[in-house]
Amino acid sequence: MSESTEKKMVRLRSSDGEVFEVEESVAKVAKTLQDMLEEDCADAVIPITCVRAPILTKVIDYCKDQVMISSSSSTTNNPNERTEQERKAWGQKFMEGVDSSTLCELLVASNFLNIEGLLNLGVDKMVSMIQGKYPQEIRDMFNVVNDFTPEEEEEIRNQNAWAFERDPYYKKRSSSK
Amino acid sequence: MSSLVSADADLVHRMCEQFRDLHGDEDLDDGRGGPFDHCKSCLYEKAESEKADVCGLTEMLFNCAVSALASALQITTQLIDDDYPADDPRRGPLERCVVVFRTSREVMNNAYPYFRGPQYEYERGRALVRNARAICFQGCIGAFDSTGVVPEELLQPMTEFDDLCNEIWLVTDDLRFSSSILCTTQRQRGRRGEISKDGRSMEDLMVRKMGLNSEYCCDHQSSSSNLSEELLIEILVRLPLKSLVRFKCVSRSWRQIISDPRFQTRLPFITTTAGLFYQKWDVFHLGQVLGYASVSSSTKTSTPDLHDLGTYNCNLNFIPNHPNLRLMDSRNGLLLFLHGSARPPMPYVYHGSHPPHPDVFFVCNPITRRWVSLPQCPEVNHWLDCFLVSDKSSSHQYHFSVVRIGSVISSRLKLSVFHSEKGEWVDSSNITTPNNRGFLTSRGIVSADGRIVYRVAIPRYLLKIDLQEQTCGEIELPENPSGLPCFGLYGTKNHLRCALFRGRSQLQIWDLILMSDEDADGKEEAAGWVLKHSNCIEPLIKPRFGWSGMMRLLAFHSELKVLYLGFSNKIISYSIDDERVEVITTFARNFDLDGAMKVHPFVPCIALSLGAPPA
Repeated sequence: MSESTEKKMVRLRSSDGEVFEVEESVAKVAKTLQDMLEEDCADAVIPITCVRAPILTKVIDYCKDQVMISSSSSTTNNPNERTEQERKAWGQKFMEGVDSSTLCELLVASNFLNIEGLLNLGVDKMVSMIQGKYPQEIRDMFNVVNDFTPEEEEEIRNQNAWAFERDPYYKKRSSSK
Repeated sequence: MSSLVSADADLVHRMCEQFRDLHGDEDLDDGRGGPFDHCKSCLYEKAESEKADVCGLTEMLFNCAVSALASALQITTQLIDDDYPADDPRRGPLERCVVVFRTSREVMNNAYPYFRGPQYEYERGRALVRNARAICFQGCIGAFDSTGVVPEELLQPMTEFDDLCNEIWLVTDDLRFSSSILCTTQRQRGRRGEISKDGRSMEDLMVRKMGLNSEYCCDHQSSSSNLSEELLIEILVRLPLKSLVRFKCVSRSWRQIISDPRFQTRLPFITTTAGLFYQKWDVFHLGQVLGYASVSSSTKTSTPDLHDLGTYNCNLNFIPNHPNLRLMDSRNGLLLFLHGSARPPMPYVYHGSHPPHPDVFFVCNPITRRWVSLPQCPEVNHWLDCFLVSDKSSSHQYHFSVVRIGSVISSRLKLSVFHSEKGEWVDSSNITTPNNRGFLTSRGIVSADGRIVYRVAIPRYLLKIDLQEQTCGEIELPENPSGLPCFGLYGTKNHLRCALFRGRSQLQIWDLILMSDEDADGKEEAAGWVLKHSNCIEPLIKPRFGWSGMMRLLAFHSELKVLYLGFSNKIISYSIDDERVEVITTFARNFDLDGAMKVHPFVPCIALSLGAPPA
């Protein structure tokens, strides 16, 4: 009984109306929420209006993991403690199979909630997804409209011709997929 | 200048009026002063003082914007509380509010530190502005956001709607009420639901552009374009240069971000940061150690060896035999390498033991990874030094030349020059050196146009070799230096600059003023040395590094106004303007500076390509 009163719960509402109940310590991984909780201005449901439920689930997963790490690392010689390598591997696994639009939402969410670790993880993932790609692929991915005239685009390409050459490294990588 | 101020003041006044119109007087004048009183009085004050400069104006604008933000939050929070019953969960502080302002480009440029500066926190009544962040948008539009996450798209409508386009916009969005967007405009009151020119409602547009509407966020299709400029920049700065340059043609806004010098300062150091290459002969491993160190004060990093340069997009492994390359010179973003298997560096030259070997030179741009190898020089005699000359012309193609200075045999100087346009080496051996003065190794510089080579001659002379006139004259150094002087070029005319030590630590910097005589075919005559800088640098070095011995002058960095010095196992930079000393790199062991160490100031250049693509 005493344990349940210790673990204060916080309710978060996603943009599509789903309510998540998480431990306060989990919510506090997000700096934005931490500030709100510390100022006691979040006694009701906290609306996270720019984050959809599936994204918020992912964010909460991340926060839960962070809480697990920090609570275990406080006690010495803990088997749960991770080395730099393990952390990297965990990050990769966490981001595995995330597509670009989900990733964008995840980035917006982690930026809004101010979760630095998740933001870094997402940015790194995004970098690995877009590097070596060609402009058209980027436009498709980010829904960017090409507002250059064909002549202008040609000129930029000519000025930076070296950057548009085929890179054997990326070719090899994409063909191995 | 003052017209801008008064325009802003007028706008703030109108903004105030608008609040009154919308919500009635009593809400605002509750004894705490009007909501915008602070900004109003600042602006009026500033408008009245004719001395308002850009700095003052910028500061004032930002103060007003933050203040307006806090006021708006306060008012709106008040209104929410008044409109809803006590038990309504929607009561309470407002979540978010944005102040958008337009100003002159000049002010915006000046405002840059504000955008990268700290987050602002303001508290007024019940309204708390948390993590307010100034965000710079394209051109002359900026914004203050109470949460720090305004997507760039927000600003697009500003240019679409002329009649709504004014100096300061206030956009508040209460996340719990879907419809409280207020914006102030000149001709049209941005009340909710009003219809704009193209038939879409203002509110709809603003909500969409802010990406706050939940429906919009759920929209999978457009979620990607939701990334704010801030987030996009975070991603772009981590990309390799090649991708980055490629993405310049994604769209105009992408190009604008990537081309922005402020963005470029955030890139990994080698792609945009000036610095220096250093190469030393490692006697333990019998190999070359090549490193690069940037000189941007805080992000200073050094790379231990050639292979690690790859981390910074400057892997030289695109050149065949790259571990054997010896860096000879650097100019305008190009590097001159010698295929180093032929000969160890200068102090280890044993002329007798090495048979003459044809030298293979490479010129490369480490940033674009383009390189060309030069044809073998027909003259295989021993040579002392070589220089790279490159002309930053407007064409996309780099032209360069390489000057190779041979030894002096019975007062005859042997010179070979390679021009990339001609593609061949030209030898000359008609230059007579005066008084049989000997050359000292590795101390010299070539003028920007490649016409004149300066070399130090014993004991205190500078030889001036004019390649065009095929003459060799001498210039006496201004002082008798202790140790070797070092040379650089300065200013738009690329005059010669010389740094030397008087005694142990009196550093002097002299400029060689050349007088151009129009009557004598524009031939330049040395008119003498002018002392530009003199400072005893021992107090800067001894307390910090515990070094009181001689220091070596290594090189000038013309663009950074920095002089490189070496002592013990360190290379340090000395900035001439503010007399500041910083450590560039520290080696594990003391290095032999007697010529084994060569440093080459470098300024990256990606705009121009070099020669044909590598095969």
